[in-house]
Amino acid sequence: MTTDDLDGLLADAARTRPDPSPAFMDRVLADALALQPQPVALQPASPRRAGAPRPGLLSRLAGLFGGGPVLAGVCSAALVGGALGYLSPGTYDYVTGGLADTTGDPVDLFPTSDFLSSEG
Amino acid sequence: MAFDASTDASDEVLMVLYANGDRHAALALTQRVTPRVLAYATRMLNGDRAEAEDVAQETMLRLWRMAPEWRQGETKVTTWAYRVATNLCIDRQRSRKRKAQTALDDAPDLAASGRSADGTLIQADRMAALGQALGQLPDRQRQAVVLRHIEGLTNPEIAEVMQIGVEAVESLTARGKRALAALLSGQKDALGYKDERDDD
Repeated sequence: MTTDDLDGLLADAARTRPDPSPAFMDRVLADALALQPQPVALQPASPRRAGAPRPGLLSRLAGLFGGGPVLAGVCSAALVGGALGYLSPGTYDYVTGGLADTTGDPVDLFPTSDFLSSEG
Repeated sequence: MAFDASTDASDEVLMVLYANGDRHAALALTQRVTPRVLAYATRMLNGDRAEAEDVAQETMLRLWRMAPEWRQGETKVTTWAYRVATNLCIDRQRSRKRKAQTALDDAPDLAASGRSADGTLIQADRMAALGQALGQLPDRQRQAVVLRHIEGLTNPEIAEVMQIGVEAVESLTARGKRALAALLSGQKDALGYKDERDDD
């Protein structure tokens, strides 16, 4: 037998693949479906409603301080404190009308209390 | 989306879809892989169809169980299936050899089959002659010849199935074909080659 003869015979064999019977194919498919993993049901990413807007940075910051009005008060106090620290003491006269002593001399708040420290 | 054996999706994609619960992918893989495994097992088991069906069904069972862990890009589905089928066929052949009678002893002798000397064998008889000759090859040579020349795998694919080097595959295939030609040379007339040439 020549090489060509053998190659021809093998090629014929490749073309004449035996067909599986329908019953056998049904058995294999039944196995496949029996062993197939169940599809995974999709879950929502979070329980939050889809239409609800995400809170902004300022809202979350205000939440940390107890709400918007509280945050406004804290900011106002910070601004006033900063201004008082920045201005020189003499400038306060414009605000206090000279009521405050800004000369640097000590103020005797309780002039009649010396008797408490006297001996005898 | 419905699949069948002719879908463009690769076997590897179908494996992923199957593992995700797609029933159409199960059908497509069954129709695409099962006939190839069955044909291969039939040739490896000397035409024993019942035993070949057992091997093919067991191979497909292992494929279904493997699907959730299937890693794309490592090996082709058909290559993996051929490898499993090869191992199952080897196990069965060893089991046969332990028995008193082998399938080869049971096979009819073509030379003494009483066919008319001047008649040309029909295609089925030619295939039977080839199957019998393949059955007389050593196991590894038969695997290499069937995978290369009948199932149409490339040498690297056969190397992966048989877990040997490509050069070893080439050697096995060449030796297998030489042995096959020698086994069939005595049946040249019976195979119809002489008659076909006379007709030309």
